[in-house]
Amino acid sequence: MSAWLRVLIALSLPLAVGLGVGWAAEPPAGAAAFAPCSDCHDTLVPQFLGNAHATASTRLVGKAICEACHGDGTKHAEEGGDKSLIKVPTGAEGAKVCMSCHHDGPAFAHSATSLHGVAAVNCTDCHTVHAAAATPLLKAKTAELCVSCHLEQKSLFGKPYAHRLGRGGIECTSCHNPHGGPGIDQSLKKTAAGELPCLSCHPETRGPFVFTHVTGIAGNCMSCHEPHGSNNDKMLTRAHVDQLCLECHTMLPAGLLGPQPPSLHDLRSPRYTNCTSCHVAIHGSNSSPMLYR
Amino acid sequence: MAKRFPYLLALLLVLGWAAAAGAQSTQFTLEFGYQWVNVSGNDGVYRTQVNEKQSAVLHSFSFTSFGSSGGSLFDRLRIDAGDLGTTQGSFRLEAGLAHAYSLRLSYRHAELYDALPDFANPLLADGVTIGQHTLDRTTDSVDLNLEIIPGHMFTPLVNYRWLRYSGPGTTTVHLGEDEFRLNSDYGETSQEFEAGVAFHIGTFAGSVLQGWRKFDASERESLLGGAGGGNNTRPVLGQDITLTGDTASTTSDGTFPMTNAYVSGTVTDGVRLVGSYVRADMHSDTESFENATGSLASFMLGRFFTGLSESVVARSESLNWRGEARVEVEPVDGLQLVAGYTKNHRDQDGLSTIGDLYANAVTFSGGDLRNISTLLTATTAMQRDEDLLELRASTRNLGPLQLWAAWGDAKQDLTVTPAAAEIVVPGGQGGHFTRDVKLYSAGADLKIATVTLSLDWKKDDADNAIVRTDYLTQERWRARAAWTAGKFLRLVATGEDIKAENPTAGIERDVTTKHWGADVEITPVKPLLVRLGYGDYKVDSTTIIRQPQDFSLTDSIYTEDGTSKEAAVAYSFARGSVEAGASRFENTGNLELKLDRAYARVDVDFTKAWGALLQYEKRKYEETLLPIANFDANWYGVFLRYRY
Repeated sequence: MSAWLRVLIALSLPLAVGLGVGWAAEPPAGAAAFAPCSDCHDTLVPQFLGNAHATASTRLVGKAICEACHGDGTKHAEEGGDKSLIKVPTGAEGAKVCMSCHHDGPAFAHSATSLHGVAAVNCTDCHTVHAAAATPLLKAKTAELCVSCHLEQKSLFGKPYAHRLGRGGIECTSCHNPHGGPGIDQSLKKTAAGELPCLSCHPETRGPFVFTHVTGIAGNCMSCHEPHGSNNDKMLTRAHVDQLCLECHTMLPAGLLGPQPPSLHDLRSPRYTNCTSCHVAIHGSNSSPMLYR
Repeated sequence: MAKRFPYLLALLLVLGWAAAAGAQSTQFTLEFGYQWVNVSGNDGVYRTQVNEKQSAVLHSFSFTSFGSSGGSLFDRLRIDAGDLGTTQGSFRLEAGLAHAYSLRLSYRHAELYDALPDFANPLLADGVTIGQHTLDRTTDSVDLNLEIIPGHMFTPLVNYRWLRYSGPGTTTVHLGEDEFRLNSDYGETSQEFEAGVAFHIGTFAGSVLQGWRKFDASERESLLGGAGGGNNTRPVLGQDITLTGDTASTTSDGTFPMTNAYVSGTVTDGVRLVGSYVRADMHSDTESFENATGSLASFMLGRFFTGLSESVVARSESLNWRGEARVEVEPVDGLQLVAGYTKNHRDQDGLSTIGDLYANAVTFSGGDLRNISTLLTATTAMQRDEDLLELRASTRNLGPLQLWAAWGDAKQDLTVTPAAAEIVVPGGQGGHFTRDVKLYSAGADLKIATVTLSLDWKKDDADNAIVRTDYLTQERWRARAAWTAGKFLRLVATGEDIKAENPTAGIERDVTTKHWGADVEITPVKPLLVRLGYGDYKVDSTTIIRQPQDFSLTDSIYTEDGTSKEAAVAYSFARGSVEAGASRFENTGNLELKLDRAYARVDVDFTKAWGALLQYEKRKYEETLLPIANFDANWYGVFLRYRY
């Protein structure tokens, strides 16, 4: 089956599901449901109607939809739209409002204690509730949004060998979970099998292998690669392959993992300074203990 | 991809039309056109770094439909697509019907190319300027997430992921005391299916998902034409080492279960519990065959031989699981205390039965021997556990100053049992290792008017190293300042200082990374935006290594000293915008290079519906020590836009 046929079949799913359950659904909220707020905030309604908040709140009608986040707007309306009389949820207080609904799913379970959470980065620093430039309700595309704070990562992506951020669906959120996750490496978005996100797109390195190398034993992909961008080929952390390898494969002092190469590996010969010329299956092998194939 | 482009475009239009027919409101943008690429210099390096190609492009597609009424298939539909037709394209669909379903579907296409002159190329000094390890492969992936009756007490969940990675390449095989270049054709397909339910009962919510991953991988290799001489042109013990033929095939597959569970809930006011569990019981089965003929030698056997027939049957098993429990307490409003415990476990066993048949084996002194047949059963085993205990306190919403501090203890326990066949120089292949890392961190965040200042500190102290690149102490300082002066100025500056070391005699590892950057955006008049950026990046790393040829000690030193400078200007007018910018990245140290980039973009609306986008990008790459890698590339794009 071709890839495109699979895409077509997948695309037909929403239609099939919709046919199956659509008849039972409640009609969604229209613009009229936002009255009387929409009498003044007429430009916000079409923006808001286009996002998930509007369709998720069909049990609410009238100004109750707006008041779910902004609180009682009666006085605000009576005083001709006095901004001081309406709650605009921002900062930590705004995060509480968002989390009053978004506390359920695993996606947000760690948000309060995530690196962003403790550093007082709140929901509305990245998200916009009414109209969004990008999904999911983001102020900008993630490639632009994240680097507006993380300048150090921005310059790493500017190095010669780097993932092409913003192209082909590669975004910061392809690998990172801005809302945090469990464990020590909480910002990484693990696969369904609990593996590092790198393996989502690089299946040939995933294994499991009979003769495994670093991954999953003493280190991980980042032991040798710089995922954000590197000056070196293959996004390696070192310019010379032999030095990268020998930093672990040196037998002094004893008692550490990493065997010493035998003496025939004469580093004065270019053949031996390019370790992966022979040890081609460097991520792991099922047939060669020396990772030759 | 280019052949499929019209079909995808048609599909997007049909979907858009179908949705628009019943919708109360729709937004639609289609941007399509053509792109050209002109490269002078090393095309392989350009394609490895950038890999743009000349093609028709669906540059951007965005469709939003909402507010359909009565019996519709969805009340929310959003389709986004970008760069389809190029080497990196993506498609995303989100559809939903309130209280009926919510669906996300995404597709990604990436063409991966790698052909560098110097990577693992022992023949570079001989003037062979294309490396031996190249690939020209594609990745296509589809992700589907479906929630049925979202927002109800029980919500069935279905997830599906399909991934195909395939294409040709070249590699090498180490055989008969030489390396020979091979053609390689690799293909791997993996599918993951998950089904489960999300629940919301009282104050508790969670989900349970049971999934399966199935993968099939195969690789076929054959000797590249003209590569029979190998890398080593000198004779081995007076005899030329050559290969007249080599064919190899390897197939691997596996089907295994994965479990994901999560629950969180509030037990009393201000006390929240969170638990999660992930388990994957992975395995792979592999069969491999290789036949080689030539004039070959084996130091391990102490023999010359003229042929090798090898067969391998292997099975690898890996059980991974991770469990976490956490309690969050808010004793007073704004103060949060968290205690968490996470345990990671990985258990791996490998078994490989390798049969080798050597043809016409003779001793190095010339004596005839019968064929040598070996049957080697290699087993490996590894078990790794990590226990992490974390305590954290943070303040929120207590005025302009936020504070947090955390303490953690990560205990690593690792047992590696190596294959007997792996041991060449005794030691370092296996054993039992433990490492205890104490984790300390703290931070502060101050917001006064339009100024934000952040500072965080992290220090890890380990009692031991497992591999030589492990640190005993690692300390990181990070600072950030942002200032906004109305709509006129926005300034952001960040700095980071990381120091990791292991002073143990014989290792003496010392790594320092210093990194700072600043971005300023100035809007002197409303339609004009000027942006300037500067970044400075320094790495200085040293450790002792032992050179294999004479076991002498030397330093492995790696340094980087990079600066990036960037300037851009954008001007908006009633019917569009003009934007242009340039940047330079320069690095000295172990690899001296310069990367200049420039871009221009003109976006014009002819009418309310029709517009055009012109784009240009230049990339010039120069390496001081290896000018053969240099390239100068120009990319042009012309796109027509329609929207309503």
